[in-house]
Amino acid sequence: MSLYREKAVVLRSYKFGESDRIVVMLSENSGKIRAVAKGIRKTTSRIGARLETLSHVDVQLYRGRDLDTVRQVDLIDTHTALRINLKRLEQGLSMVEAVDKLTPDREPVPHVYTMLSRALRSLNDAASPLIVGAFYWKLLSSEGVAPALDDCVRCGSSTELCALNMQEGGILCRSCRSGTAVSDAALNILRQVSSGGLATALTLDESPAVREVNQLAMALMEAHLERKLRSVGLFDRHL
Amino acid sequence: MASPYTPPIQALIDEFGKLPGIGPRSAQRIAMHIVKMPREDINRLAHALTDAKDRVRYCDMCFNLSESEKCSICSDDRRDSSILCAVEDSRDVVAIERTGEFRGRYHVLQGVLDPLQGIGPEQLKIKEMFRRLAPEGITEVIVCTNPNTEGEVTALYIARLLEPLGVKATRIASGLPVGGDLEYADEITLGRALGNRRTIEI
Repeated sequence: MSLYREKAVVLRSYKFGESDRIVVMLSENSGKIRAVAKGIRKTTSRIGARLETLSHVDVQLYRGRDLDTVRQVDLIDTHTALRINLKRLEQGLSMVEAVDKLTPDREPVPHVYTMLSRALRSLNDAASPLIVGAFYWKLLSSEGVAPALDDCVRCGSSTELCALNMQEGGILCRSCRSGTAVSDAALNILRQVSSGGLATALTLDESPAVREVNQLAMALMEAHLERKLRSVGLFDRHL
Repeated sequence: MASPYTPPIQALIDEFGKLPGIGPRSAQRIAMHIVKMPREDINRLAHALTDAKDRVRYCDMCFNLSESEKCSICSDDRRDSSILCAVEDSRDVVAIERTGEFRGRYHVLQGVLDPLQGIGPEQLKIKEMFRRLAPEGITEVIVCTNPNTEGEVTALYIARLLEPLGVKATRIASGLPVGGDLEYADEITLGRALGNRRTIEI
C-alpha cells in the first residue's frame, strides 16, 4: 500500500526547496500527515490553490519513508467565506493551530477530524463569535481534560458556583473558590456547549459572557498545550 | 570517515553547500571548478561577492534593496507617486518591473503576516508604509502579496487599516495564466477568474 487516499483538512504548510511546499494536514483515518506538494509554488502547478490552509480536500498520497508525496488533490470545500473576512479567518486559523499543536503525527484521531471539518464548515456558513471557545472546550473534553461543571469539585455544593480552577479540575463554589472567576452567564454557556446544546450556543451573538467563555477556553487550551497560541487576537494588536 | 578532499577544498565545498538549491554534489562540482579557474576570474568573483555585501542596503523609503539611501525607483520623479504597490519581497519588485505595466512606487513589506508562525504586523514594514501615505500623497495601495492564505491575510489586514484613512486599497487580480489550459485550472483560481471577468473591449 504505497498509494493511499484520504480526506483531510489542511492545517498549515511551509516552503520547501525551490518550488515545493510541505503541507501539514489532519486526515480522517491516518491522523496528522506531512506531505510534500511538488512544484506547488509554480504558476503551472496542477494542484494550484487547492492545498491552502483551511481547505478541506480529498488527496491521493504516496507513502514515503519520511515524508509522503501529494499525487492528486480534489477539493471538498475551500471555505471561501472564511478567507474574505479577517475575523473569521482569525477564528479558523486559531482552531487549526490548536489542532496542529495538539495532535501527534500519524496517530488516527477521527473524532478531531470530524469536529474540525464541521466547525470550519459551520463558521464558513455563518459568523459565530463563540466558535473558537466552544471548539477548544470540545477539544479539551475529547482529551479528557475539560473541567467538571456540575457541582463544586471540592464540597459537592450545587449553588453559588463562581470560580474555575484547572488544578482542582472544575468549578468551585463561593466558600471553596480559587482560580479564575466565572459568571453565571458564562457557566450556562459552558454547560450548554458540553451537554448537547452546541448548535444553539453557536448562534449566540457577541456578548460579555461569550467573550468570557472564549477567554476561558483559550486560557485552558494554552495551559493544556503549555504554550502560547499565536493566531488568537493577532490582528487586534496595535502597531 | 575523514574527508577525501584537502581541507581548503573541503571548506569551499562546505560553504557552497550552504547556498540555496545547492546540494552536496553540485557543491563539489563548483568547488572543483573554482580551483581550476584563472587567478583574475577568481579575483573578480571575490570582489563581486564582497562588493555586493558592502554596497547593498535597504532603501529608507521603500525597503527595497538599494545602493544608496533612496533606491532608483523612489528617486525617479517621473514615477507616479500617488499609487503604491505593497509587495512581500525585493524579488517581487523585479517581477512586477519586468511587466512594464506599473509606473507607481513600491513598498517592500519584507515578509507577510503568518498567524501560524506568529509573524504579526510589528515584524513587517507595515508601520513604515503608513508613514509614507500622507507625505507622498498616496491615494491607492495595491496589495501585491502572493495569492495564498498568508498573502490574503496581509491584504485584508492592510485594507482594514487603510479604510478609515480614505486611501483606496486594491488587490492584485487572480486568474488563469496566459497560455494555460482551462481544463487544468483548479476550481478556486477558475472561480476567481469568473468572478473577476471583464467586458471585452473592441
